[in-house]
Amino acid sequence: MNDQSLDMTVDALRTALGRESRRADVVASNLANVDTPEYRALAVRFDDFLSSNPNFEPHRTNPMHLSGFAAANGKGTLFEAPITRMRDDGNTVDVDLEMTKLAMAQGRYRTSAEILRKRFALLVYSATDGRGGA
Amino acid sequence: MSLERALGIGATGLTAQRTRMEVVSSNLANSHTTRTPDGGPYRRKQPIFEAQAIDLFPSDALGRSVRAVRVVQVVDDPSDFMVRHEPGHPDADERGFVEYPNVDPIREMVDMLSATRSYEANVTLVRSVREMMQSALQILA
Repeated sequence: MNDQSLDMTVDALRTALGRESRRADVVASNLANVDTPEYRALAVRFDDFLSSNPNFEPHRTNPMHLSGFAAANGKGTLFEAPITRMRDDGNTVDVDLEMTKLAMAQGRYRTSAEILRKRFALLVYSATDGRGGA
Repeated sequence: MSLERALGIGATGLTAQRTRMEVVSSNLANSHTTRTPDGGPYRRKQPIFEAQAIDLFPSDALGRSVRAVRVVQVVDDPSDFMVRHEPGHPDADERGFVEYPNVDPIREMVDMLSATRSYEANVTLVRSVREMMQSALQILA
Protein backbone atom coordinates (compact mmCIF):
# COMPACT_ATOMS: atom_id res chain seq x y z
CA MET A 1 0.00 0.00 0.00
CA ASN A 2 2.43 2.66 -1.20
CA ASP A 3 -0.06 4.92 -2.90
CA GLN A 4 -0.61 7.23 0.00
CA SER A 5 -3.82 9.03 -0.76
CA LEU A 6 -5.46 11.99 0.88
CA ASP A 7 -4.54 11.20 4.41
CA MET A 8 -4.11 8.49 6.99
CA THR A 9 -7.83 8.41 7.75
CA VAL A 10 -8.74 7.49 4.22
CA ASP A 11 -5.98 4.89 4.00
CA ALA A 12 -6.93 3.29 7.28
CA LEU A 13 -10.61 3.25 6.43
CA ARG A 14 -9.96 1.82 3.00
CA THR A 15 -8.08 -1.11 4.48
CA ALA A 16 -10.79 -1.47 7.10
CA LEU A 17 -13.34 -1.86 4.32
CA GLY A 18 -11.15 -4.45 2.62
CA ARG A 19 -10.78 -6.31 5.87
CA GLU A 20 -14.50 -6.48 6.56
CA SER A 21 -15.27 -7.64 3.06
CA ARG A 22 -12.65 -10.34 3.51
CA ARG A 23 -14.49 -11.38 6.66
CA ALA A 24 -17.70 -11.51 4.66
CA ASP A 25 -15.90 -13.76 2.14
CA VAL A 26 -14.96 -16.20 4.85
CA VAL A 27 -18.49 -16.23 6.29
CA ALA A 28 -19.83 -16.76 2.76
CA SER A 29 -17.55 -19.75 2.34
CA ASN A 30 -18.63 -21.24 5.66
CA LEU A 31 -22.33 -20.68 5.07
CA ALA A 32 -22.22 -22.04 1.52
CA ASN A 33 -20.55 -25.17 2.86
CA VAL A 34 -22.78 -25.58 5.88
CA ASP A 35 -23.84 -29.02 4.64
CA THR A 36 -20.63 -30.15 2.97
CA PRO A 37 -19.23 -33.21 4.75
CA GLU A 38 -15.71 -32.85 6.14
CA TYR A 39 -15.68 -29.10 5.56
CA ARG A 40 -13.74 -27.27 8.25
CA ALA A 41 -15.05 -23.84 9.16
CA LEU A 42 -12.53 -21.10 8.47
CA ALA A 43 -11.85 -17.91 10.32
CA VAL A 44 -9.61 -14.99 9.48
CA ARG A 45 -7.19 -13.13 11.69
CA PHE A 46 -5.72 -9.71 11.06
CA ASP A 47 -3.98 -8.69 14.25
CA ASP A 48 -0.58 -10.08 13.27
CA PHE A 49 -0.45 -7.60 10.42
CA LEU A 50 -0.94 -4.76 12.82
CA SER A 51 2.04 -5.70 14.89
CA SER A 52 4.41 -7.14 12.34
CA ASN A 53 4.36 -4.77 9.40
CA PRO A 54 6.47 -1.64 9.83
CA ASN A 55 5.18 -0.18 6.56
CA PHE A 56 1.95 0.72 8.18
CA GLU A 57 3.48 2.77 10.93
CA PRO A 58 2.16 6.33 10.75
CA HIS A 59 4.33 9.41 10.91
CA ARG A 60 5.00 10.74 14.34
CA THR A 61 5.81 14.39 14.79
CA ASN A 62 7.02 13.75 18.27
CA PRO A 63 8.75 10.56 19.45
CA MET A 64 6.64 10.74 22.61
CA HIS A 65 3.48 10.16 20.60
CA LEU A 66 1.88 6.78 20.77
CA SER A 67 2.66 4.43 17.95
CA GLY A 68 0.89 1.37 16.73
CA PHE A 69 -1.95 2.92 14.84
CA ALA A 70 -1.68 0.96 11.66
CA ALA A 71 -3.81 0.18 8.67
CA ALA A 72 -3.86 -3.55 8.23
CA ASN A 73 -3.42 -5.38 4.99
CA GLY A 74 -6.74 -6.60 3.70
CA LYS A 75 -5.94 -10.28 3.50
CA GLY A 76 -5.21 -11.52 6.98
CA THR A 77 -4.49 -15.12 7.81
CA LEU A 78 -6.94 -17.95 7.42
CA PHE A 79 -7.12 -20.59 10.08
CA GLU A 80 -9.51 -23.33 11.04
CA ALA A 81 -12.09 -22.01 13.43
CA PRO A 82 -12.26 -23.62 16.87
CA ILE A 83 -14.83 -26.37 16.88
CA THR A 84 -18.00 -25.26 18.62
CA ARG A 85 -20.28 -28.06 17.55
CA MET A 86 -19.98 -31.69 16.66
CA ARG A 87 -21.73 -33.39 13.82
CA ASP A 88 -21.30 -36.87 12.50
CA ASP A 89 -20.30 -35.65 9.04
CA GLY A 90 -17.11 -33.88 10.11
CA ASN A 91 -18.46 -30.44 9.27
CA THR A 92 -17.56 -27.77 11.83
CA VAL A 93 -19.63 -24.80 10.64
CA ASP A 94 -21.61 -23.11 13.40
CA VAL A 95 -24.39 -21.13 11.71
CA ASP A 96 -25.15 -18.95 14.74
CA LEU A 97 -21.52 -17.99 15.09
CA GLU A 98 -21.27 -17.20 11.39
CA MET A 99 -24.38 -15.04 11.54
CA THR A 100 -22.92 -13.10 14.44
CA LYS A 101 -19.66 -12.63 12.57
CA LEU A 102 -21.54 -11.48 9.51
CA ALA A 103 -23.57 -8.96 11.47
CA MET A 104 -20.41 -7.63 13.09
CA ALA A 105 -18.60 -7.35 9.78
CA GLN A 106 -21.59 -5.59 8.28
CA GLY A 107 -21.78 -3.13 11.15
CA ARG A 108 -18.10 -2.32 11.02
CA TYR A 109 -18.22 -1.99 7.26
CA ARG A 110 -21.06 0.50 7.51
CA THR A 111 -19.24 2.42 10.19
CA SER A 112 -16.10 2.72 8.11
CA ALA A 113 -18.04 3.64 5.00
CA GLU A 114 -19.92 6.30 6.89
CA ILE A 115 -16.77 7.84 8.32
CA LEU A 116 -15.22 7.82 4.86
CA ARG A 117 -18.30 9.53 3.51
CA LYS A 118 -18.04 12.22 6.17
CA ARG A 119 -14.34 12.62 5.46
CA PHE A 120 -14.99 13.28 1.79
CA ALA A 121 -17.93 15.51 2.56
CA LEU A 122 -15.57 17.56 4.69
CA LEU A 123 -13.20 17.86 1.74
CA VAL A 124 -16.02 19.06 -0.47
CA TYR A 125 -17.04 21.48 2.22
CA SER A 126 -13.62 23.08 2.43
CA ALA A 127 -13.08 22.94 -1.34
CA THR A 128 -16.23 24.95 -1.90
CA ASP A 129 -15.50 27.59 0.71
CA GLY A 130 -18.09 26.19 3.02
CA ARG A 131 -20.91 26.50 0.56
CA GLY A 132 -21.35 22.89 -0.43
CA GLY A 133 -20.90 19.35 0.84
CA ALA A 134 -21.17 18.24 4.46
CA MET B 1 -14.01 -6.24 -5.49
CA SER B 2 -13.99 -8.75 -2.74
CA LEU B 3 -17.63 -8.31 -1.82
CA GLU B 4 -18.65 -9.66 -5.19
CA ARG B 5 -16.79 -12.84 -4.40
CA ALA B 6 -18.77 -13.18 -1.18
CA LEU B 7 -21.94 -12.74 -3.20
CA GLY B 8 -20.80 -15.40 -5.66
CA ILE B 9 -20.06 -17.87 -2.90
CA GLY B 10 -23.43 -17.14 -1.33
CA ALA B 11 -25.06 -17.82 -4.68
CA THR B 12 -23.43 -21.25 -4.92
CA GLY B 13 -24.80 -21.98 -1.45
CA LEU B 14 -28.29 -21.05 -2.60
CA THR B 15 -28.00 -23.24 -5.68
CA ALA B 16 -26.75 -26.21 -3.68
CA GLN B 17 -29.57 -25.96 -1.14
CA ARG B 18 -32.15 -25.54 -3.86
CA THR B 19 -30.87 -28.66 -5.59
CA ARG B 20 -31.11 -30.47 -2.28
CA MET B 21 -34.70 -29.32 -1.95
CA GLU B 22 -35.45 -30.59 -5.44
CA VAL B 23 -34.01 -33.97 -4.52
CA VAL B 24 -36.13 -34.06 -1.36
CA SER B 25 -39.27 -33.28 -3.34
CA SER B 26 -38.38 -35.97 -5.86
CA ASN B 27 -37.97 -38.46 -3.04
CA LEU B 28 -41.22 -37.47 -1.36
CA ALA B 29 -43.19 -37.44 -4.58
CA ASN B 30 -41.93 -40.91 -5.43
CA SER B 31 -42.18 -42.44 -1.98
CA HIS B 32 -44.65 -45.00 -3.30
CA THR B 33 -43.43 -45.39 -6.87
CA THR B 34 -43.00 -49.06 -7.68
CA ARG B 35 -42.16 -48.68 -11.35
CA THR B 36 -39.29 -46.77 -12.92
CA PRO B 37 -37.74 -46.77 -16.40
CA ASP B 38 -34.78 -48.74 -14.97
CA GLY B 39 -37.16 -51.36 -13.60
CA GLY B 40 -37.94 -51.93 -9.94
CA PRO B 41 -39.11 -49.33 -7.47
CA TYR B 42 -37.77 -45.79 -7.13
CA ARG B 43 -34.50 -45.46 -5.27
CA ARG B 44 -33.98 -42.61 -2.85
CA LYS B 45 -31.65 -39.97 -4.30
CA GLN B 46 -29.18 -37.90 -2.37
CA PRO B 47 -27.06 -34.94 -3.48
CA ILE B 48 -23.31 -34.91 -2.84
CA PHE B 49 -21.89 -31.52 -1.88
CA GLU B 50 -18.30 -30.59 -2.50
CA ALA B 51 -16.36 -27.56 -1.29
CA GLN B 52 -14.77 -25.97 -4.30
CA ALA B 53 -11.71 -23.72 -4.13
CA ILE B 54 -12.05 -20.50 -6.07
CA ASP B 55 -9.06 -20.18 -8.35
CA LEU B 56 -8.62 -16.44 -8.09
CA PHE B 57 -8.01 -16.82 -4.44
CA PRO B 58 -4.53 -17.66 -3.23
CA SER B 59 -4.69 -20.43 -0.70
CA ASP B 60 -1.99 -20.74 1.92
CA ALA B 61 0.57 -23.52 2.21
CA LEU B 62 -1.89 -25.72 4.11
CA GLY B 63 -4.42 -25.46 1.33
CA ARG B 64 -6.83 -23.33 3.27
CA SER B 65 -8.85 -21.04 1.11
CA VAL B 66 -12.28 -19.60 0.89
CA ARG B 67 -14.47 -22.08 -0.94
CA ALA B 68 -17.73 -22.18 -2.78
CA VAL B 69 -19.99 -25.23 -2.80
CA ARG B 70 -21.15 -27.35 -5.67
CA VAL B 71 -23.37 -30.37 -6.08
CA VAL B 72 -21.02 -32.84 -7.75
CA GLN B 73 -23.61 -35.51 -8.36
CA VAL B 74 -26.89 -36.94 -7.21
CA VAL B 75 -26.45 -40.56 -6.20
CA ASP B 76 -28.82 -43.40 -5.42
CA ASP B 77 -29.18 -44.52 -1.85
CA PRO B 78 -28.13 -48.20 -1.96
CA SER B 79 -30.08 -49.23 1.14
CA ASP B 80 -32.73 -51.96 0.99
CA PHE B 81 -36.20 -51.35 -0.31
CA MET B 82 -39.11 -51.53 2.05
CA VAL B 83 -41.06 -54.72 1.57
CA ARG B 84 -44.74 -55.05 2.27
CA HIS B 85 -47.06 -57.98 1.96
CA GLU B 86 -49.73 -56.93 -0.54
CA PRO B 87 -50.75 -59.98 -2.59
CA GLY B 88 -53.30 -57.97 -4.59
CA HIS B 89 -50.74 -55.49 -5.89
CA PRO B 90 -49.84 -55.85 -9.60
CA ASP B 91 -46.14 -55.52 -8.78
CA ALA B 92 -46.18 -58.16 -6.05
CA ASP B 93 -43.83 -61.13 -6.45
CA GLU B 94 -45.06 -64.71 -6.39
CA ARG B 95 -45.14 -64.72 -2.58
CA GLY B 96 -47.20 -61.54 -2.47
CA PHE B 97 -44.45 -59.11 -1.42
CA VAL B 98 -44.18 -55.66 -2.97
CA GLU B 99 -40.95 -53.67 -2.91
CA TYR B 100 -41.50 -50.00 -2.10
CA PRO B 101 -38.90 -47.22 -2.38
CA ASN B 102 -36.32 -46.84 0.40
CA VAL B 103 -37.73 -43.40 1.17
CA ASP B 104 -38.42 -42.54 4.79
CA PRO B 105 -40.77 -39.53 4.84
CA ILE B 106 -39.58 -38.43 8.29
CA ARG B 107 -36.00 -38.37 7.14
CA GLU B 108 -36.98 -36.38 4.07
CA MET B 109 -38.86 -33.89 6.24
CA VAL B 110 -35.81 -33.38 8.42
CA ASP B 111 -33.72 -32.92 5.30
CA MET B 112 -36.22 -30.42 3.99
CA LEU B 113 -36.10 -28.37 7.18
CA SER B 114 -32.34 -28.45 7.19
CA ALA B 115 -32.20 -27.32 3.55
CA THR B 116 -34.64 -24.50 4.31
CA ARG B 117 -32.56 -23.26 7.22
CA SER B 118 -29.33 -23.41 5.25
CA TYR B 119 -30.97 -21.62 2.36
CA GLU B 120 -32.16 -18.89 4.73
CA ALA B 121 -28.66 -18.54 6.13
CA ASN B 122 -27.33 -17.96 2.63
CA VAL B 123 -30.10 -15.50 1.80
CA THR B 124 -29.20 -13.55 4.92
CA LEU B 125 -25.62 -13.48 3.79
CA VAL B 126 -26.52 -12.20 0.33
CA ARG B 127 -28.69 -9.50 1.91
CA SER B 128 -25.95 -8.40 4.28
CA VAL B 129 -23.37 -8.26 1.53
CA ARG B 130 -25.72 -6.27 -0.64
CA GLU B 131 -26.23 -3.86 2.22
CA MET B 132 -22.47 -3.52 2.61
CA MET B 133 -22.15 -2.75 -1.08
CA GLN B 134 -24.80 -0.10 -0.78
CA SER B 135 -23.03 1.59 2.08
CA ALA B 136 -19.85 1.57 -0.03
CA LEU B 137 -21.74 3.20 -2.87
CA GLN B 138 -22.90 5.96 -0.57
CA ILE B 139 -19.38 7.02 0.35
CA LEU B 140 -19.36 9.71 -2.30
CA ALA B 141 -23.06 10.42 -2.22
